[in-house]
Amino acid sequence: MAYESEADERTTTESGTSGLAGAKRRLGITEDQSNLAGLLFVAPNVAVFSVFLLGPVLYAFYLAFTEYSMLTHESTWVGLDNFWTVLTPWPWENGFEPLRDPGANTWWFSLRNTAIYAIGTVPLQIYGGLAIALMLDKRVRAKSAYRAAYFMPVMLSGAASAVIWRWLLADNGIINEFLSPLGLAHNWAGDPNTALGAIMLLAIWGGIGFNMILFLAGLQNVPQELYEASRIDGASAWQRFRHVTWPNLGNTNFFVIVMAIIGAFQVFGIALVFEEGGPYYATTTAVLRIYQRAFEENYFGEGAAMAMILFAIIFAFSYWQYRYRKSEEVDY
Amino acid sequence: MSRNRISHDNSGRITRRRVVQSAAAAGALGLAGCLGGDDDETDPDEIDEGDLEGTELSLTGWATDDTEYELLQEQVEQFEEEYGADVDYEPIPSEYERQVQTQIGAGEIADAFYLDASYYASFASEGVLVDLEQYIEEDDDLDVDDFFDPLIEAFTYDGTLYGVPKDFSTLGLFYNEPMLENAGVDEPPETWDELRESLEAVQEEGEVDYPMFASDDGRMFFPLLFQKGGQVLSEDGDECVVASEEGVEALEFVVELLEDDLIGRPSETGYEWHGEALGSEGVAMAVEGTWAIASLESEFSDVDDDVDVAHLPIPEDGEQATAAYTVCYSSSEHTEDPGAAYTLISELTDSEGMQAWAEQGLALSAHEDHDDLEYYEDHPRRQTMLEAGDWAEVMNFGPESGEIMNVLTPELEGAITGQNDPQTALERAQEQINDDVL
Repeated sequence: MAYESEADERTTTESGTSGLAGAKRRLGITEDQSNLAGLLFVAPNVAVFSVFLLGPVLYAFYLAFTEYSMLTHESTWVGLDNFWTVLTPWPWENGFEPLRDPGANTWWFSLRNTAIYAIGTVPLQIYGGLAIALMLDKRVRAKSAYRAAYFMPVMLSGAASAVIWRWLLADNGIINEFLSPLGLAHNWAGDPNTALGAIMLLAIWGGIGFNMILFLAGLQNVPQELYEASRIDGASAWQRFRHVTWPNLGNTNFFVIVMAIIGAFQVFGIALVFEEGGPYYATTTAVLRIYQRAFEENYFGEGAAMAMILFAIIFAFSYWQYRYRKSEEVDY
Repeated sequence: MSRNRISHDNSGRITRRRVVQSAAAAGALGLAGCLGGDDDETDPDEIDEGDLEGTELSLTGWATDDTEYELLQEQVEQFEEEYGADVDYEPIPSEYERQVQTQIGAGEIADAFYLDASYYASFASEGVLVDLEQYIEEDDDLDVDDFFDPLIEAFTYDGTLYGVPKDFSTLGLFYNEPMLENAGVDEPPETWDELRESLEAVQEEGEVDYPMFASDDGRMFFPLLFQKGGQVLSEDGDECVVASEEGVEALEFVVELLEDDLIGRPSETGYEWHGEALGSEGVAMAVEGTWAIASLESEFSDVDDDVDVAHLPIPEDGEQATAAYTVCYSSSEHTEDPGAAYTLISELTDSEGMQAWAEQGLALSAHEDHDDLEYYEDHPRRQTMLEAGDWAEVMNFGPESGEIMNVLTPELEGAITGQNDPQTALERAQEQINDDVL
């Protein structure tokens, strides 16, 4: 790039400069960069993005340091107070009480719920999706029907699937009809010890199809000649997967993992509809807690502070994944 | 949601009220003539028919269905015709509280709007509402004494009335008469002991899996707490006292019924709410609000005749009490003409306005003397629930109601699901509310 722009500058200088071009040069704008038409094309998007996304995000960042009343529109600067209120007592205090007892610090407890949810759902969503994609990438009868069936839950809204699963998992629901002969019938949704698991089950069911589609797309991009070459070299099915398919799915994998982690940390709709964060805080996730604190209890500053903390966590995970991916990049 | 304006020919209609008003107007004609109609601040005492010519007002609320929307629209049109004002009625379809908050913050709120008692105080405490007391005092058509006392108390914040009750609902004991009769229970239970006995009888009869339905949020706990003489907050609202002996006994009673499978929860029964459970004949009893009657009538008409309503059973050492839910009309300080806004509110909530509103049956008339209305004589279930207005306690716990409920509800859930015993649950809630909220 550096070479090019220097070359550009030289040409501009050589061909003689008008006022505008001179101004551009002084500002360091090269011909390549001054694409007015391009800027005009992105302008509507940038405008909408700024007004409806960037602006509110920056304002939320500001709110995190204030005490704000939606009604009077008044805000008082309180520095880091909101963060302090949200974060204390620290999770390790009193023998990790905030992680065991929602009453001690609801924010840490909701983060604990979110972490359990993420750990439980992300790997299964991803590798379940990969497994199904691999199976459906073969010559299978009625392949498209299977693909459609696995993708169907993705098209359902979270709220609708939460309602469906609450019925399925109810004490007298259809799942217990099958489990009761085995003596395993249980009020899955209504018991604080199993409700989070029930939501995880529903999230895996809903998320697997999405990842399957992405992996299927990724699989189409693996060059066939690599498989041919590896076959000729006598590679087993596992070796072909390990050394051809897997490295070539790197980009897909990165995208899927990042999206799944972000999705898991932001889980809200299904938790709200399933049991409104209950029973007994069992499904109170981080975003649900933010919603409650800001919009139900009118502490917008604290809500914004929680949102910033959640943002930092998600950002850290995405960045770490990005760095990790860089170090793993393959080249043939 | 369809927003059809109903065409309604009012031209030939003479109501009783009109006759009275014309007479009054004739008497006040001289006075009214001296008034400029376009003053920014109009004194409602002096606002008469036609005096609001050219005044633009806006009104918002929520509309549960088309009937509710159309009825209010009709009342608004009548007001427009009488006073010459131009009223824009536009309900907010969802997330009402959030929307109203935002609109008040932005100064874009309607001149008159609904506020639910559960969050009313958080608005009143911020000083964004218009003091309506000054107007009601000078209003000949409306008096605070017309309303049930608990409702006026609910909308009085720091000694000032910022809202006029729109309507209210109480909790009553809904029961399926034939089911109780089959179980040998001839009269609905009047005491807690009788309630337990009749639930046991229904359970023994085996017609249903669970004799009674209750939601997870522990709503049923509150009327029982009030019956025992307990409260959530102390008189001055500075302290949470829910873990009193009375509170523990009330919650223990509920939890024991749950433990014995005499009450079924949504996740146990598969029903979403009380009305559905009763209407599907899935349970014999439920403690539920007035709104369920309208739902039974329209959605479960084949079971509707079997379901009756009685006053809540009370403990042997307790008193009549129930929980009430209510909504008011308020106006914000952003309104340009509070006097005109009040006139609209007054018209919607005075005896005639209230009667028209209440007769759609979704909620009860907030007027104390409406118990002898023909409508209530024809609708005995609603009459029973209206009677309870005398001893009902409105569910609102001051400006921090939202947070208090967000602490209390999960702890009640904890007791209901057996995570904690009732005493521990209430003590935990009380401690948290006293330490973190108040």
